Amino acid sequence: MSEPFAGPAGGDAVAAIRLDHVVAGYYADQPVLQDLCLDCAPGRVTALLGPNGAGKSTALKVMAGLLRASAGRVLLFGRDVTRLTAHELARAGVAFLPQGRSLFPELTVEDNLELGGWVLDRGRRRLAVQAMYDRYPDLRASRRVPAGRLSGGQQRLLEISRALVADPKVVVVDEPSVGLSPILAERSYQELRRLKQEGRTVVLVDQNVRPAVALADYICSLRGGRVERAGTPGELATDLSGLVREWLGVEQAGTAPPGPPGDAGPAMPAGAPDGRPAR
Amino acid sequence: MTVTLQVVVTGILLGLIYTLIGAGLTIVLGVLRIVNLAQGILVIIGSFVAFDLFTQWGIDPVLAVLIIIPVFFAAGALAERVLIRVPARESPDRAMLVLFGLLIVAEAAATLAWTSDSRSIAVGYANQSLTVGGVVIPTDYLVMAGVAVVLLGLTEFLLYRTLLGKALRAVGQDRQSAEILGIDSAAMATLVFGLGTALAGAAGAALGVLFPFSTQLDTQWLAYSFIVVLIGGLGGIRSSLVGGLALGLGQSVFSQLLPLDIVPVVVYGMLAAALVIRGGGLGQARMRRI
Repeated sequence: MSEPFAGPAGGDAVAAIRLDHVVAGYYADQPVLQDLCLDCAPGRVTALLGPNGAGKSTALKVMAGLLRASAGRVLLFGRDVTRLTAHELARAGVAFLPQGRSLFPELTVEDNLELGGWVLDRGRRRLAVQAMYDRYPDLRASRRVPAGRLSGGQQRLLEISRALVADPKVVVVDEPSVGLSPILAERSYQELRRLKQEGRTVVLVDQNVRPAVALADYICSLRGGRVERAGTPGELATDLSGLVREWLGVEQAGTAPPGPPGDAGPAMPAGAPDGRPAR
Repeated sequence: MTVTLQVVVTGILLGLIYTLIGAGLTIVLGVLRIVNLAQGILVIIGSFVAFDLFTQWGIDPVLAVLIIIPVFFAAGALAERVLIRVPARESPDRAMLVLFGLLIVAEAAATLAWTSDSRSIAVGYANQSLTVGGVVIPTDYLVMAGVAVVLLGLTEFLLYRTLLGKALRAVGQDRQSAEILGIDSAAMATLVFGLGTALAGAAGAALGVLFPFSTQLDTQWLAYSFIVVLIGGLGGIRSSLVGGLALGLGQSVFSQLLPLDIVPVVVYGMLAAALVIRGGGLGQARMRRI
């Protein structure tokens, strides 16, 4: 493996996020992540793939500070952030886009955006919110509308823009397309491509293998809470279809270890039969 | 006609003060999903502190509110840190049980400190009244309702007009999403509990001027605050206002029409009716968003 990133930790360059022998789970005696070592390259998109229960979403929760590692270390640009909580990590420049709805439905679009800039001072917050309106003019038009009343697509845009108000260095994304129509899913990937162009570090978990592989600079396949294969899409292209078939087999045989509640669902929809990069 | 107006005006003034006891409960429910069973005893302690400040130092209850608010805020914030935070992490119901324990201890401590005798705060303007267009408005009702309006207005402003208030409401709507934006939800919980406690204490000072009180009366105020929350339905301070005014007007009207002994029965009947009509009762109330 020639690439220093998206592999077992240990490369020379400073990773944006490094999971170093991380053990984590929801019950003390059932760790989902078992000695997980993983580097995410700065300014690149790293996609975590794997069967249900492999620990993909759990790894993201550890990166976002929503779940604390019971052993091992989490490094953010070389700084040890293992014991930081989610709100402290947000201040440190990590944004998390969780699976499913995460807006405050009773608060207006503008309130949601302003809270996205909670960690900023007042002046910078105001500028950042205005910048989001310039980026997504639709949101300016509905600034006084409660977020819960927006259409599904607008809610997704608001979630993404809210996560960007504080100008995060790292954006951790769990299932960007789940539950969205094909058009909205494509819009979601379009936004992720934009994050990539802006030079942000993106860590992505996606059941939808094909678009994830198309977007990713590095791919890391997990199984049983450990890294199974890692590399660039080019390096893994020949292996991916076999891996995806195996993951489906793992699930059908029902041998996957118990995952967190959010991990349910098929590893890959029927629309992406081979899981190859779509480019 | 004048009598009717009189009853309505008194009911509204009383309702504003009742809104204040409901508001403390509402905020804690709306943000933390915790039913604060100690709300009633906090009101009573507020009355006794106002009583002591008045009898020992001659401090008017209106000024006492300015002292009670920071002191009760600090006490509530401390209680959240020490007693409530850990059980609340398990579930809001655990926290409710802890608060039930706190209620029993606080009631016993209050009885030790102030005995079980009934007291009242005899302010100079207690027996004065204002006559407007033939309607006699008791001055103490007017003053205390004024205090309630100011405090409710400030609370409303905090919750709906400031970023801090929006962050508090955000924690109530989706705690995890608030955390990932950098909002310290634990600090917000401390703040909210302090705020709820301060409002209860302030309501105690106001009610202590209008009605006699004793350390056993806490369940009455707890029941009243439930009535305000349940009748007001889902929503924030504004729906508490609906509940508070309904209770105040109800009590005022019934006191005019029925023998005084019956009035509490009817008021508790309102609580029972509210519980039935609101279906899920307090469990339903916990769904409220502010």
